[in-house]
Amino acid sequence: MNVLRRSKLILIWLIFLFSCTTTSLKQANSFYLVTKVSKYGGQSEVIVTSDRIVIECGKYSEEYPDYYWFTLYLLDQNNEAIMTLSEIKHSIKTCSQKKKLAENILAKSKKIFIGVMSDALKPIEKISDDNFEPIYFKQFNKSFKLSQRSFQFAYLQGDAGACVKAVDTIEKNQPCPPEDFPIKE
Amino acid sequence: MSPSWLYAFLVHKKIEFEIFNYIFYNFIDNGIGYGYGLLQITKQSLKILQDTNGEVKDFIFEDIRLKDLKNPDIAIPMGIRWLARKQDTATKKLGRNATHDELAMEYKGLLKSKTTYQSQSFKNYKGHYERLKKK
Repeated sequence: MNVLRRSKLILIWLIFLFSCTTTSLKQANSFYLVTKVSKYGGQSEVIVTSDRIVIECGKYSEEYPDYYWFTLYLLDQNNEAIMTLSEIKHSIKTCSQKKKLAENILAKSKKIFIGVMSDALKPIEKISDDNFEPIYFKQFNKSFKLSQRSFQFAYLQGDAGACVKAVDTIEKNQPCPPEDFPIKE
Repeated sequence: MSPSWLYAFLVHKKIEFEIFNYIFYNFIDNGIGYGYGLLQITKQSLKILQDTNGEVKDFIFEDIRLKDLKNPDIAIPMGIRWLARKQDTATKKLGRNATHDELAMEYKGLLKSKTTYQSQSFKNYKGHYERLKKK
């Protein structure tokens, strides 16, 4: 009986140990890193693992119910979700198309390169007291607080090279990443 | 609205104009979303701006096509006219003169919005504005 009880305790201990190891391994391979900010802070480049990105098409505003925001949430090093908005009005069709393209890139790439038209290292200035809904990250099965920081989206590129821009043009051969990237200055 | 008034408005609103120019400079030739050209004029706005019986009937434009909005010489005056209209609508909504920030949000259709998007978009706009003032 004592032997059985001891084995049970060992088993429980092993399960606990393995679950801890798995979690820390997941965390070690998951990161958010600001790699470059332009001289005046107008553009920044970020590398983030695909598990730290959530994409959605959100209703634009009460006044324009037929428009949508193409939105990324980036889980930063403090585990807060940074809203990254494409500052353009989309139809549900164009937003969904872009979302699908971006999600394909996330599925095929571990490291994602993101360009934003914002200063990613500027100290956060709290300009509203709004307490917004936390953002759910399926990969972590957990919701995270929305950061007071926000970005304007420029492009997203997987480590295999596929790329999605904030704005698609009617002219052919427009580059992705767009002209402002990679940051030179 | 006379052309000279429009010119005066353009000069007076130079700061706002530069902000929009800065924010939307990378959105030229957008053919997929709803906003077109340098000042992101929508199809609906383009129609209103040429409607002799519409909400801006006292100063309208003629024979402007969607593809013409790629030309800044056309897009800028139309955008400024639309901005002037938005100043009126923002003032009516607020019951007082709109501030520059409020006008920018009204132009984007976000003045009365209480969503997270509005709040974060406003932060992006303020970030651009602060950088512009430092340059």
